[in-house]
Amino acid sequence: MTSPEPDRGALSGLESFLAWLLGRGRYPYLALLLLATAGFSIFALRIGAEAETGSMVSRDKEQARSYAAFRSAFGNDEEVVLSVTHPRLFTPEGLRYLDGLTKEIGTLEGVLRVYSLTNARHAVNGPAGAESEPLVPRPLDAPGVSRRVLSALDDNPKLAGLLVSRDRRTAGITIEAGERTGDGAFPGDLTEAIRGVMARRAGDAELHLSGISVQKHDVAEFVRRDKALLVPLSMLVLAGMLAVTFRSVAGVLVPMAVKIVTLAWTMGAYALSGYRLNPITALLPPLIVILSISTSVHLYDGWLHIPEGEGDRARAIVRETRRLFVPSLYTALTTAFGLLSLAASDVPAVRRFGAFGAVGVFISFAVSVTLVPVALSFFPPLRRERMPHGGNGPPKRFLRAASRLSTERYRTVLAVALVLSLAGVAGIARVRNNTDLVRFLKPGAPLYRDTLFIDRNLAGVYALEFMVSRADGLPLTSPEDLRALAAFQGMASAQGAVAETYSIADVIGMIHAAETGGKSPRLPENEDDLLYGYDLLKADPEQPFLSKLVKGDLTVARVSVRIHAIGTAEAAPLVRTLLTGGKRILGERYALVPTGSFYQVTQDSNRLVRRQGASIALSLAAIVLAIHLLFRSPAVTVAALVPALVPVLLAGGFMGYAGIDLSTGTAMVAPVILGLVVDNTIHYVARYRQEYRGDAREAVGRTTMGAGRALTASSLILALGFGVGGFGSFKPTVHFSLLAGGTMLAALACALLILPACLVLSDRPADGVRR
Amino acid sequence: MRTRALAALVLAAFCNPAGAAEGKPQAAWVRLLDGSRDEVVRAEFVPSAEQPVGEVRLVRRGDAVVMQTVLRTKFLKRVVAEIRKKEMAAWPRDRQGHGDAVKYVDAVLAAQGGIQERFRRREDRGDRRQKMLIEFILSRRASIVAIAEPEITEEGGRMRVVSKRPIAVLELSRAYVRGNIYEIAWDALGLDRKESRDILEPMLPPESPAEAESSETERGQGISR
Repeated sequence: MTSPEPDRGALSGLESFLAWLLGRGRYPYLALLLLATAGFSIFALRIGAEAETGSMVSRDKEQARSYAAFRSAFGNDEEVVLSVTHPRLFTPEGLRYLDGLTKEIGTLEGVLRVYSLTNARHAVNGPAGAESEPLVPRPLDAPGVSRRVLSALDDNPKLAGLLVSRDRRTAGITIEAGERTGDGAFPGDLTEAIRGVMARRAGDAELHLSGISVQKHDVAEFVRRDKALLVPLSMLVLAGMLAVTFRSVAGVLVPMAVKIVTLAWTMGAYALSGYRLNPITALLPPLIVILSISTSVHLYDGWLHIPEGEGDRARAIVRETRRLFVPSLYTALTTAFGLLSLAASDVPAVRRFGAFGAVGVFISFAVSVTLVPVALSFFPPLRRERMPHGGNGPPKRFLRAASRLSTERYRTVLAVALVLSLAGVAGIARVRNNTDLVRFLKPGAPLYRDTLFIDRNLAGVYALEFMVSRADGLPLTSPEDLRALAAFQGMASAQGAVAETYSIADVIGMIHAAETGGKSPRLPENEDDLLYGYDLLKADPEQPFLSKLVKGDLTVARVSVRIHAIGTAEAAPLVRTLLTGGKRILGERYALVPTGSFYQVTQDSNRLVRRQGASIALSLAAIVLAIHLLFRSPAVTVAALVPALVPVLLAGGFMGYAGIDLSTGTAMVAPVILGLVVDNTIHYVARYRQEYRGDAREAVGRTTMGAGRALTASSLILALGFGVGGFGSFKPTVHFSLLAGGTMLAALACALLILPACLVLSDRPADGVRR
Repeated sequence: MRTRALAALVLAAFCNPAGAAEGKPQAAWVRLLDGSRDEVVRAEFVPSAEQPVGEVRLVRRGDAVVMQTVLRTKFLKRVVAEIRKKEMAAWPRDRQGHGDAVKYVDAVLAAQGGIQERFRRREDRGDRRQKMLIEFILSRRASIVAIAEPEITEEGGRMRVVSKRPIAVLELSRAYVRGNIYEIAWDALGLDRKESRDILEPMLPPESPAEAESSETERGQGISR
């Protein structure tokens, strides 16, 4: 084995640059760094949260086209639902309460329309045929109002499902918002305004608010909260860890300075690129804080090992920096490759997370190899007796034990690693692909409670939307067309997670029944009657159902399948069933196109998993290439890969056994972690090759004792740093953080046990003669 | 459905007869029903020029005055139902002329039924508007209401009756026809009382004092629709 052969010319150039930097360049460098950091900080501090979640949705062209067509035909599908549970709902008092609330919300800025029991109209048979009549007659305290309303609801089960719960204790107010403003927000912050009304009017009633725009509002709030909490907290935790590890002011200040500069530059660049934070990129600041630690810790630890009494301190720092430059560069490269592999995702937020994470890694590397030497040149070297754990403390004993175990019982170590890996693989098979927008939140979050309450009591919180059109492009004006829609709805309603379905067929059925004096909804049997129903709806400005259910030229109908609050694991097969069943029912004569925001989430979740495979493959290929370029030895490359893969398998297995879903957040763990865990391997192998003098066991012993402390320190710091994400507002954030932290600990164990065992094993020649 | 209600309301106002006498078309009425030389004095779309469901015209036809209502709407059934409602409100059982009103309403309803039936069998599936022509005609010798199904074209943005299929002709009291011509002038032609008197009095044939008084009384009571 030979040591890595870096480009000597480049390294001597580096040495000259560092010598200049530590000499005359110190103050200009620091002034420039300070200036640039201040500049980037201004932008970094101004980053807001995305009001829209468009960046969380994939850029699949077909999907985007369908959704654009849907929005163009039927308008905004972002409805807000306010549930009102009143102890005396169907008394004049309860109806007056509901009416007052409905009217007040209707006056709020940004509200287009409000529907509730007290302003709903239904079709009744009158002298002229179908007549539109208020569902709740006026005055509200007239005798028999309650009985008449309940009877009307019993006659219109579909309408009842939208307006009131089955137990008739909870009413729903559906709020249709206007168009968003240019920055993606509703004018006057509608959610806040509605919550203001709720707080003022609650009284005896129990009120719950949910809907896509409420989710977006609250998610933006959580992102802001996490940004304000997690970054300072991770800084604090890391500072504490550095203080415990190095027990010196310099040991805390220098790596912390690297972090602050890296964070300011990266997030400043992010803001300058015109981006805002979303639930995915909200992880970026804490991630950068964590990722920027590794190189500075190794450099600082190297500085601690500069022999006492070294004459020229600056030259010693330059030498140590040069020694660690190549391994640190490669660890930065592999970490960046891991993050950049997320570019395979077609969700902009994930791509952005990967790209700016990689930018942060490179900034961190550049700042570490310049700022750490410059900063250390201001501090006197620690006296050996003040060095942390300089004697024979627990860390040394721990490293010695690890070294013994990995060299003397390497077969056992590898066997255990194999068993654990196989268990990990078995666990991975149990991982469920499931993105659940509601359960992304912690159970204590108001939105979580509100959404599930509304889901239990009213007709579902999500809608899978379908656009149905005739294959020949003609308008849906034949009675067979509506019968086909109704048949599709019947099949959809029979599915377990489906709460209710709505289409133009329901409304026409009700109008035709009222027109002809029938009680139960029934579809027209000839084209004239059907068109008459359309005409009646068109002429009614009070009930704009037509434009919400069928395109203006009548060529496309919307079938809205309301479903309960399920995750994509259940929704994806449901979509498949509806599509297969729908195509069977509708046949060749009709085109059936699924769409809507919830459908997009479902598809994206599936796509994310497929892309995750590509991300991992890309990440792995880049890492293999980097390790091979660095060490130029296939045996070492293989030996280095094993301890990098085992933690990833263990993390995947843990997800499966612990029931952690693969979602938009957790799908990013593997590629990112793969790039990180290999860092330990690179540092270890680089040191091992310096220590190797013909005996692998001896080299392993020296490497573990020499590099082990920095590896342990950086891994523990990373693990705890990731652990801070456990205080995040979103479960994917929490899972991502805890999984990444746990994997870092597993990676440390692999670096100290499995990697040395692999190196010992790979050092045994076939003829049994040790080289 | 508010638009439909509004349209029906407006139409009901000017289609509301006051006193009627049933009668079959007579040879003497042929000239009265011939609109080939109509001279339009005033015309308005109802309920508005933007969303017209018909047109109301004050026409001079020889020595007769005709208040002509041309309906072209997808909601003829509802318009007729509204006419009936208003008619019964204006001519209750205890008021003289109630029987004429019933006959008039029955005739309009029957006409609508026939038009609807022919509409279902039509060859041109493109136009789903049903057409009805109602004329209140007052001459020196006759006071009739004629109901027909017209063929309509548009000329210069106005509706033109190119032909018509007669459905019914009702002979009604002069006071009823005269009174309704005034009502329609107020409601559909947008004339106030003075304007309508200034336009209609020189055109309308002189009435016997009793009829004139009856007509004026009703106007004074403001049988508005």
